Formats: sequence, C-alpha cells, structure tokens
Amino acid sequence: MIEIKGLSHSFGKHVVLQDVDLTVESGKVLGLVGINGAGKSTLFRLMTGIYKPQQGEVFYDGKSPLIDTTRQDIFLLPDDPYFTAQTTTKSMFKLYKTFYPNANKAVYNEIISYFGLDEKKPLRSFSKGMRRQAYIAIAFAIAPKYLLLDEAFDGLDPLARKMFKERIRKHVTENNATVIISSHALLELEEFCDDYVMIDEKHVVASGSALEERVNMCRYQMAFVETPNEAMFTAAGLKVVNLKITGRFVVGVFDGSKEEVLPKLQSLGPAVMDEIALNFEEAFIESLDKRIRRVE
Amino acid sequence: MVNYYKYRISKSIPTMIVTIVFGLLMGLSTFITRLGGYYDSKRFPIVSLDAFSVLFFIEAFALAYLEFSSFRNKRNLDTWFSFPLSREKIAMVHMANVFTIYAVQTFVFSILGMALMSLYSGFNYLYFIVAMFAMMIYYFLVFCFISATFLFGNSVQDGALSVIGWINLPSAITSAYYMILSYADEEYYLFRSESVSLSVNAPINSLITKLEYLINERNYKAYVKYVKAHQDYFYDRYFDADLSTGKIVSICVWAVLLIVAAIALPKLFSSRPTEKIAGVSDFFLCFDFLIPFYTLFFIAVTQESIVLKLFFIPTAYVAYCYYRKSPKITIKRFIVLIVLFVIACIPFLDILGISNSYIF
Repeated sequence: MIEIKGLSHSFGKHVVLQDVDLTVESGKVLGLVGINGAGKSTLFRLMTGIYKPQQGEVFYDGKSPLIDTTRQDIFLLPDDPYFTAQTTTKSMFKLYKTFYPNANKAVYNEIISYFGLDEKKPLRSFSKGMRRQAYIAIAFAIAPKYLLLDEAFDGLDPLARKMFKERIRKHVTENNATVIISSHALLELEEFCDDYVMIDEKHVVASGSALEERVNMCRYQMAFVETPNEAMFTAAGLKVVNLKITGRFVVGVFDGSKEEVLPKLQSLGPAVMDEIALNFEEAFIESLDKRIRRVE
Repeated sequence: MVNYYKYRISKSIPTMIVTIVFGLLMGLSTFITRLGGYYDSKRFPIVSLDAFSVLFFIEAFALAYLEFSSFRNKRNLDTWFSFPLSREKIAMVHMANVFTIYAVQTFVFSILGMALMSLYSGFNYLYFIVAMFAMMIYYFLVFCFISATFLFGNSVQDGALSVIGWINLPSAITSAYYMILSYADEEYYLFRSESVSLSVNAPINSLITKLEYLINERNYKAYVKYVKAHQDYFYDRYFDADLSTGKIVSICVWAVLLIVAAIALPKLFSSRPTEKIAGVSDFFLCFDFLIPFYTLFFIAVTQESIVLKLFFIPTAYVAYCYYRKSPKITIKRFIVLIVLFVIACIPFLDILGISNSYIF
C-alpha cells in the first residue's frame, strides 16, 4: 500500500504541491491526471526519493522511498528517461540489471522481440515511441511491486498501447502490484484504471467518481423528427458545452443539473431521448474549465 | 554497489586505455629525458614537464566531467536517483572507478620506470615506489578537489567555470599582485616574469600544494622560488634517493586530505537538491564572483593594451548573461554585482602602500 501524508513541495516561492494526502491500495491501477504543470511529475519524483519532501511523508508498506532498499520494489518510468548516445537496448538492460539483480532477461527479450526492436541499434536512432517500448520492456523485466509510469502512453501506437495495458493488468493480477499511471489520454485511463485522481491547484482535488459528482453537467442523446440545429438548443435556454449533430440524431453535453436541463430539452420535442453518463475526459475538462474561469 | 562498480569499470575501459597511453607517454618521455642526464635534458628538452602537469590537471578535470556530468543534467536524474542505490553510494562508486583508473595508470607507469631504472645503478626503488604511490594519491586528491568544485555548480557550465576559476584563483591573485608590484617599483621588476610564469603554470601549482606550502611559510618571495622548484618536484627527486621526513609528512598530509575528501565528496554529491540541477547557479562563489574577479584580473594583467582592457567588460557581460540565463539585470542584482566587483578588487588593492593605478 502507498500512503502519502501531508506532502508539500515548492520550487523557491512557487508552491507546486500542498498538503497532498493519498492512499493507494495494493493490486490497484490508479490514474493520475492534471493539466501540464499541475505537479504530476513532481509527485512521482517525491514518491521515488528523487526529490526529498520539504514537508510530509511517503510510505510504501510503511517504508520510506528515501531508503534505497525500499526503492528496490519501486520502478519509475520517467517521461524522458536517461540514455547516452551509445546506449542500446542491450546495454540499457545491463545497466538496470546492476541495480535490479532480479530483472528477467527472458521477459525483456520477449517484449523487445514483440516490438521488433533491434537490440544493437542505439536508442537515439529510435523514435520516441520505440524508446518508450524499450523502457516498457525494462519495467516488466524488473516487475516491481510498485510501478510508476509518467506519461505512460505517450508516443505509443495503438498496438503497443494494447499490449502495454494487457501486461500491466497481468502484472497487477499475478503480483498484487500497484501501478500509478499519469497520462493525458483520459478516455484510455477511464476504461483501464481502477480509480483515478486529479491534481489541480497544488492539491489532489478529486478522486475517482468524486470528480464526476463535482461537475455540474449532463449528457443526452436524442433523435428528432425534423433535422435539428444548434440554434434551437440555445434558443431553448440551454448552455451547450458540446453538441454533435448527425442527421436527425444529436449527442449533447449541457451545462447545469439534470433538473435544469431536462425540461428545456423536452420542450424541443425529441422523438427519443436518453441520458448518458459523462466520460472522464468531459468531467476533467469541465472541472478545470470552471476553475480557470473562476480564477479569471 | 559492487555490481554498479563492476559496471562502471567495464564502461571505463576506453578511458583507462587512454589514461594508460597518456601515462606511458609521459613516463617514457620523462624517464628518457631524465635518464639522459639532467643538464642534457635541459639543453634538449624532449618534453615539457609544465605541459605534462597541465595535462594531468586536464585529465583530472576530464575524469571529473566523465564521472559526474550526467548528474548535472536534469533529464538524467529521474532515472539515476530513482535507482535503488543511495546517492552517496553512487558517488563512492564513481570515485572508486577513478581511483582504479589512477591506480592502473600509475602501476603501468611504475613498471616502465622500474624497467628503465634497472638499466642504471644507484636508484632507490623503495623511494620510487613510495613516490609513485604519493603521486597517485596526489592526483586522486586533485581529482576529488576538482570534482567537489565541479559539483558546486548546478550545471556542467557552472561546474567547469568553478573548476577553472577556483584552481587558478591563488595564482591569479599572486600573479596580479606581482605584476602590480613590478610595475610600481623597479626593485620588483624581476617579479614580472614570475607573475607571467605563475599565470601560465597555474594548474601545476594547485590550491592544495599552495596551501600546504603557505601554511608553513608565509613568504611570497620564497613562494616564487618554490614555484620554480615545484615544477620538477615529482620527477627529479628520484635521483635524491632518500625518504626525508619532509616528504613523508607531505605524503601524510595528502593522505589525510584524501580521506577527508573521500568522506566529504559523496556527502556533497548527495546534499545538492535535485530541483536545482540545470538551473541558474545559486552558489555565491560561482559566476557571481568569478566573472567580476577574472574581468578585473585580465584588466590588471593586460597593462599595455587598452583595447584588450575595453574588450573584457562586454565579454564579461556576455558571460554573465550566459550564466544568468538572461540578459536582464535587475537593480537588486546590479547592486550585488557592484558589491561583488568591489570584493573582487580587494586582492588587487594597494595593501603595501604601492600605487594600484595600473588596475583601472
């Protein structure tokens, strides 16, 4: 289990994280979201001992990551991992093997072969996605109890993403591992993660379904007898967040509670109308948009 | 830790080969020169010992750069510092790696020296072995000193500036002082050439050696004489063939300093906050001090050329902007800069009642 208690960190006068509390149970995949500069990477660095917390503590099963033996169970895959001009996938494994003696070469080779990476070619000659694939292979070869993935899906093609997600799920199930993934691919996180948290304004502001609950928005799909247009929705007093019109079919996201929106939509006389749950991305955007507008 | 050490050694083989070749070249040239006869060698100098000492300084700096520069790059630190090995242990491994390089280099160098010596009679091999050992710890000490200076900077550029600036600082102060002295008073005219020599040979006379000497005798004239003698310090003494108390004391001083450095360097390495790496240096004695100081130094030592003097001011401003990472200088920073410039002037001030008008 990962426990974060009262974690705060600043860069000079700029406070990045303040009083962050978070608990992640073992055997879970947690999504970590937030806008650029929200503090996701800083949180990862604090969680892995790269930064020493100015305030608060992080524990992995009661042990601090500032102790090097604790980090034997933790693997951070950074957004931009280290490699030199001469590093090949083969030499990279050799480096990681010195720090993680239990790293499994067979697993590594299997993933490298799956992705079709040439182990003799230098990493600098690879595309960003291919480099990511090489580091994914390292991560699963080490098979740590705690896997922290920063910008996890960045640069990966759909096939690689599929394989990556399957491997993560298998790793969690087989080893009761804990995985934390930060990504901007919110829809992907929503379908894949057991839970997710959002970092905004220096805090973990929403966790899991609480994010949807704090968003005052609803989504409907409708069919009309006559071809509809956007003007009729605004004329009905609806605040349109998003509207997709395909012939006589409409899927729309509207600002306001169900009680406010539903009567206005009914006044437009749709032939059929159903409420659909908001997805994570919409909730995320709405939540941040409101906060930013409030600040402005 | 052991695994990482083995990994580092395996990665350092090309470096080791280069240092061995360099050591052998130096050894061959030195021994051939010396064994050919001291006076002959002066007449037909095959190699310049000054140059080789400079190369040893460069070697120490190159090794410090190779071992620690990847830790001055922010991108790398997410990987390095999340590894399950403490920062102190990482630094210790890198130091052990360099010590191994020096040990191998010195060993090969010694074998060559012994082989050449065996062709002649009358050499004290015990002294030679002790001298080789002393040389090894001396150069490793220089490496530790350079590494520490390098690690005070938040970036490779900061580190390089600190190394070059601080290693040369005592020589710069002394040579500028003599330069001013010689211009101010004919009696001191001879010091002028010594001051140039001090500037040129600055790396030879590292801070460590200076301190060691100056602690014993605060006499600048004697210091200049010492500088002359020091250039051949390691090499000519093979012919002395004795282990005097003074030499033993020197070796002990180096050894003690080395132990202190071996403990302090990993602590310094781990104490630098990761957040500050790749940022503007926050070390007061880095560019904030060194740029005004050396601007003043260069103005002081280029007395004949007003054009050069005028060239240093804009150059210093460009260098300052480079290190500051901004062309803007706020009023607060401008005041700090003026204060630092005044502080940097202190070594050049007229402390003996002699005119310092040549500075400005």
